[in-house]
Amino acid sequence: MEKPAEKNIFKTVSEDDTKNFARKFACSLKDGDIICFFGEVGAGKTVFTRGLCRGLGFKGYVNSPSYIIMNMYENGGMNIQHFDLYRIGSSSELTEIGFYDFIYRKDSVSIVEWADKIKDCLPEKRIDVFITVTGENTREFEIIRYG
Amino acid sequence: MIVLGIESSCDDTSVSVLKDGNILSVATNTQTVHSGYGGVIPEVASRAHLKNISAVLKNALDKAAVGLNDIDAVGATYGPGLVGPLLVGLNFAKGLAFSLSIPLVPVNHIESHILANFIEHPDIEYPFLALVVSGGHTELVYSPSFGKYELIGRTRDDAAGECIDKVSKMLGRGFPGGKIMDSLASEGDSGFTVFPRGMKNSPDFSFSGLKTAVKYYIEKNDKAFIDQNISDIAASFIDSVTDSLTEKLFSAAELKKPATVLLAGGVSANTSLRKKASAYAAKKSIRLCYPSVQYCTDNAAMTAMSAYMMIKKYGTDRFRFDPELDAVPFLRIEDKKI
Repeated sequence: MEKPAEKNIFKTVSEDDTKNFARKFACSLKDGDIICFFGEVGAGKTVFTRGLCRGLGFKGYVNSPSYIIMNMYENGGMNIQHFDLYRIGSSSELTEIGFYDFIYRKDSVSIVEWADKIKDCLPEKRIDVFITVTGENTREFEIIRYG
Repeated sequence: MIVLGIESSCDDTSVSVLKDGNILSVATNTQTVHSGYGGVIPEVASRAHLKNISAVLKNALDKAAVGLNDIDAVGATYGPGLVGPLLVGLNFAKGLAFSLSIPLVPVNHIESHILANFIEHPDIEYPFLALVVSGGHTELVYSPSFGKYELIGRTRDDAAGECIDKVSKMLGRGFPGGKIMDSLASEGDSGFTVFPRGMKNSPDFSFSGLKTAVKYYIEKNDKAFIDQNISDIAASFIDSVTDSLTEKLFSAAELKKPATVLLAGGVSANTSLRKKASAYAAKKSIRLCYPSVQYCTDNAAMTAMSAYMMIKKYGTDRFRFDPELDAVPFLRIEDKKI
């Protein structure tokens, strides 16, 4: 059975504000954490992810892995695995692409964009981040920590 | 010299036979596209590569009227790309090279897109500036001489082709969106509306903001309006993509003064991009080259060509069979092995 979740809501008013919030949020993370993003196109997943990587100490190149499904950032502070499941059709494909070989690694923080695609088989212990567009530049982040 | 090229970095399994720099055959098995959700299924892709590759090889050899024992060397893509598909192609190539006792040339997928230009334009002069644009790549690269690359700019978020594919899906026009958006755009008025141009005054590209802007535009207007003006909207969108691409290409050309400018990758088949680049090249008296459409998208002819050029430059001894050779999914153009 899942442990009771801890839930927090944050609001940001601009792209810079989102980046700064992501940097601060990164300070609460430790190796083995899995962060799953839920939100439509344009919600700010890319902006948040970049801020998160900077907060985790990675200064290098962060881009969208939509086509190659996964990026790894290793020459900074903490190791980061960046997944993008945009092209995944269903959760049954995850085994084939090696998702489970990577996601449980204890020496990395994992970021999963488009986690909606695999709702039914996300790791039990994880942090969900739901991003809601509340205005042109304003966003609401609902962060739920499981386990 | 007969070189076999094998390319399987993403969704297509492709094999090509090249003789002394001339392409004898290309056989490609394109994965079934599942337009229902807007993507190619990686699981299917990985398994399909494995299922297809022997038949694709046979097809390429038959078309070229060449037998396995006639092959002098194999070239295979070892990165960047999806790890499963890469491993299928590379290990197949290793098996062939080992059993035939011939050299195996590891080919960088991004470099091979650039070198695809040499298939039809073998006399391209260095130094050149190359814009590599596809679903997975947006890179502006300067090459002073063969095999040397300096990265000038790249995308900070989405690749240009990825942005076009995603917008095509948002507009309800299917995946992949390259051809669809191109033909809609060529019938439309690019001045219909103005979408933003990302990362002005920087060598780097950005397409995430543009994607979001189109999304808001679709939400703000009703569906009938969008459908009625679809060609004009597509033209305005493509105009923004190609403006961003060419602005950086032209600024880099002013700075680097290359002898040749090259376009490469699937998006280099785009009509608007070719038109803008051609106009600039004519004005500045710079030579512009781009591959014909069949060599723009992923194909093994470019892999065979790259392997052939590397053998010509470095000799076969450098490419003796290496059982340790492994796929490198996050390989960059600057990370050259040779």
